[in-house]
Amino acid sequence: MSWITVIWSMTASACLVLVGTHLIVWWKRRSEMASLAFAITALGVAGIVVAEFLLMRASTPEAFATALRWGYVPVFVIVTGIVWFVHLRFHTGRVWLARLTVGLRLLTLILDFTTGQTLLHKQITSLGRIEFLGEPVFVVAGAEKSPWLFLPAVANLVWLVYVADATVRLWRFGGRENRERALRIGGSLLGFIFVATGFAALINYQVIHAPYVVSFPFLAMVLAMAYEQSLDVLRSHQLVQQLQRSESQLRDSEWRLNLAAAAADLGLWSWSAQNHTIWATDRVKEILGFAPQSELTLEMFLSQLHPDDRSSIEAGIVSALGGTGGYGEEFRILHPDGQVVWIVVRGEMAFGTDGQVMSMTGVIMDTTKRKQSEVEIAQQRGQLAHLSRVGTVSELSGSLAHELNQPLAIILANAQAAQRLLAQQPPDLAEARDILADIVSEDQRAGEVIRRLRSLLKHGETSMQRLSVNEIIHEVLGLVRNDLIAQGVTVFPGLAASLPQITGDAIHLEQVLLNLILNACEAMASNPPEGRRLTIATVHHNQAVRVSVSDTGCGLPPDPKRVFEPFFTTKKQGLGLGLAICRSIVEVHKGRLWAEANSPADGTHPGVGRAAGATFHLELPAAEEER
Amino acid sequence: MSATEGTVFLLDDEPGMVKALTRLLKAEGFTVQGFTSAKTFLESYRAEDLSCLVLDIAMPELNGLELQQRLTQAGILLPIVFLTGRGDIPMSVQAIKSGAVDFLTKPVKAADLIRAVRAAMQRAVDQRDLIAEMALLRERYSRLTPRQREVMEHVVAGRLNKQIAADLGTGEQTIKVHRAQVMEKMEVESVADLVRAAESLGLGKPPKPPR
Repeated sequence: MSWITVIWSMTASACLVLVGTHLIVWWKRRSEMASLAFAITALGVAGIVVAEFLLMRASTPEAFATALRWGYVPVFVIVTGIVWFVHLRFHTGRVWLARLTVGLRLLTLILDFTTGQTLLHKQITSLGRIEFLGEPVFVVAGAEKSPWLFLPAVANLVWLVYVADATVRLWRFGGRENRERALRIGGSLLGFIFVATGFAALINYQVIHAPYVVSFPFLAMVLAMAYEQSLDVLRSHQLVQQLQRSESQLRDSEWRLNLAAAAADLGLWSWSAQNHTIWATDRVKEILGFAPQSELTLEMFLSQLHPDDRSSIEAGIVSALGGTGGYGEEFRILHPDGQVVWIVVRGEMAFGTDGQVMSMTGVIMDTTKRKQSEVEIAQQRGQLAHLSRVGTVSELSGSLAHELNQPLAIILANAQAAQRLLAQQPPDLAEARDILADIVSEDQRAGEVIRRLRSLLKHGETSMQRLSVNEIIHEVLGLVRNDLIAQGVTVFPGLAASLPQITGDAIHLEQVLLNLILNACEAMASNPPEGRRLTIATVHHNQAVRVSVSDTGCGLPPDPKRVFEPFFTTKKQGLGLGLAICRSIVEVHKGRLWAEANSPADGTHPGVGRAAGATFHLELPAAEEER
Repeated sequence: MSATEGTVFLLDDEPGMVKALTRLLKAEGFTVQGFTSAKTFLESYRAEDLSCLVLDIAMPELNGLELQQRLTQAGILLPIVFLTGRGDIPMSVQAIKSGAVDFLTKPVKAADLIRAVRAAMQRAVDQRDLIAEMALLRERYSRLTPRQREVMEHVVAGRLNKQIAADLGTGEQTIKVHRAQVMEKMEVESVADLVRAAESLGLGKPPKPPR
């Protein structure tokens, strides 16, 4: 049995198997050019194996020369294949070196077929026989050297340089994971190429007399490449697994997200800036009033906006897109069936590497119920304030009745006087005219009282207007004048001459002042008449108007803040809500209401050696200057 | 005496009210002076004039009831008609007890006011008459000699001439003469009138003679 035959056939078939499998791989995935490169290389190695076999069995110089000549074809194929492989797998090979390598080998091939008998020999004269693996093989014994002998060596050198350079560059620039690769595949390639080409050169220069057995290092090289390729397959398999894992994690995450969104009743949406499409969950379409299966577009969304809110929303979107922050707005939309729905839309933007908006992603919520609750609460607060106001006004009922009584009494007296005057002979018409004029003005006065009373008792929405604080105080003093007289309270007004206007609701502010004044009177109820002094002062202080109502009564509890607590009262009757409601009114006006105990050393109330009383301060921000 | 003699004073802190009431009372023939503050009223008021006061209770600084007290403490007998916007019973009772003529609530009907003012003026007249009468009586009494005053005392006590003579230790005839002098000087015609005069003068009962 010929070992050479066996071994070389096995080697050739091994290479062909590799060619076959990797061709199939490449055929299945055309983009995997590395597989093609490898297949070609393996084919080349198979060719070398055949050529070597023929060389060893060549019995005549002519047969030898022919085999040697054709042997350079697979060499060229191998070189090209390896260069291509390295280029594809390493990505670090210098292209000009690659071209040079391939070019040189092409040149070699051309010269091989066009000059002499073979590239190496002008003429092979005789063959020799050597014992190799128990068989005789033929080698060149005598030959005329070709001038192109150096060319294959040069070409191989360049080849080595290319591969070495690519390997070194991979080592340096490829990163940690590529260093290992560089060492493994690059190193092995280098090693085997060096061995093969070195051996060949030695034989060519007839330094040693041996058959060409370059196929073994080439085979080893091919096996190394196969390993590298299979690693690649392994890697891609790992990637597939990772991908599957990621996909399953993604599915889990998506499931969790949907669950959270459903629990919070959120709709999720995402708008892409590139193709202007919107991805949205069914809940979004439900909230917006569209069918769940419909495609949502920006125009559809904008068409649902409530006409009153539309312009401001569009402006808001435009400004959000121009900025870097998120978007968060609450506004109304109008369903096709006319239903008004309040929604909150929140979104965050994603930017591309060029700083342009790529997409906006966010949530949408239906807050109609919450808004309704807010409206109801505001209504209830208004009702409570109204009730409290009615209660306060009813405390004044005696006073108000008196206020109405005065003009009525005057009108009656005047009218009856006029009757007598007109019954006289001659009637005093001039005086009668005066009387009628007085009647008219008294009637108007009564009308004013009724108007004030009606406006106080009216339950309407808060209407904010520009007001003068001093005017409000005068109005209130007019209402309580009688009460103050009846209780023997002396008023010391200290109103600043010029104050900025404030923005507020006249009725509500009157309610607050009324409450403060009545409280002050009640605090002084047990004082002797000379000790009932009520001071009302207004001051312009720090962009705000401050009203201070001071009394000389029984003072405050040790913690003055308590008086504002709901249901805190020192009166025998009463709910104790008055001051709490006042405070909430003041807060709506963006002001402050607080109480301080007067210090006995305060020189404002001389001669009264009793409790110094309390002062309530009301501060309201000045209205913005009118442009 | 004319019912419209004398001055009606009006005091109310509402100028409109003062004006209207002035017109009304003037149309009725009264002479009216109106004031809107107690201070200016007190400056103008002279106690000797025949006058009455229509007074509002609810006034700042000094309310009507306090003014009434002050006048009483100063010994000024000025008939007062109270006017008030809100009348409650305790207030009205206090006013009447303190000597007010009437207590009216606003709006006040002309007829009620005029009636009350007339009553007040009548009281003023009565007071004046009473004062005048007292002055007369005192003047007459001052004409009597001490002896005659003694006799008057006993006559007024209901003693017979005989008894008086015995009490005083003189003769009956002397007593008779004194008695006639007393009657003449006191300008009374009957003992009953003398008794009334004595009562008016505030002469007490004579001590009982020792037995």
